[in-house]
Amino acid sequence: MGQSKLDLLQGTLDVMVLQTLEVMGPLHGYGIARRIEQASGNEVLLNQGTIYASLVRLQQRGWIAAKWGTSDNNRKAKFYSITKAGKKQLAHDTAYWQRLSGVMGRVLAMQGEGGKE
Amino acid sequence: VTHSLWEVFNRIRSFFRKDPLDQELKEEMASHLQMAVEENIRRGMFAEEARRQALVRFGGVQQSVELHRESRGLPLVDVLMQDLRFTFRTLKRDYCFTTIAVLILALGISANITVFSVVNTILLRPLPFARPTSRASFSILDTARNPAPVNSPSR
Repeated sequence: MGQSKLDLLQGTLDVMVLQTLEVMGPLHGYGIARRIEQASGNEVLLNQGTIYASLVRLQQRGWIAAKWGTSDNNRKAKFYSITKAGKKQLAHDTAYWQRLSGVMGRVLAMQGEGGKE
Repeated sequence: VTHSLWEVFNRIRSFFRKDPLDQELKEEMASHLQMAVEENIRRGMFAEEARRQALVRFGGVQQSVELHRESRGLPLVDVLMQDLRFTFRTLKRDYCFTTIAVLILALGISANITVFSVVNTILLRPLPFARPTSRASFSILDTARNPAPVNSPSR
């Protein structure tokens, strides 16, 4: 892929973070960023630093919680976990994104009438 | 709706806790970079290259800090405060200009207040009687000593 990575749409990173935390359990910022990169097949252009803006936003909305702990290799790190309100929001966002991508798929697959070009 | 309320509340709180929050973010980012470097070294990079790659993937520490501040606090108020500070600094530097400007403003305002309070009491405020327009004034003229008024019909 190299240079032609996808730019993230506004608001997509927040959903990705919520989903990652829902599936993986408590994780630190680096872990979340790496998981998103891997899960997206390295197609997403993610400046890992931007994840912290997303994390603080989600935290302030009460969708994730954070506390300091130690990582596997004994390094101090802040671990994030999804809250009950966050799970609800994730379900809502998932439904929204699936609908939107379905609609976009149908509209972009539109054919000319009567089989011409 | 609850989450927006929480967000507003937390944004205001963050606005007054800049230093501890920045410190915490700094530690968090340092730990992030450290973990990235370690992973790169495990993958067989030399220390220097590992660090360089980690920074590239992180994508601008300062920008991330700015983005974090904007997402958590009150960026509009921040800008406003910056502008105010800049204004006062400039005024302080241009001491002469500031003094003259303040004096002119003070004179202008006080002259206006004085003139208005006089005009208000004399011309604008109604007389303190029940029907001020139906008042008349009388005076007695001593026609022997003083000649009668020119427009007097008795002459």
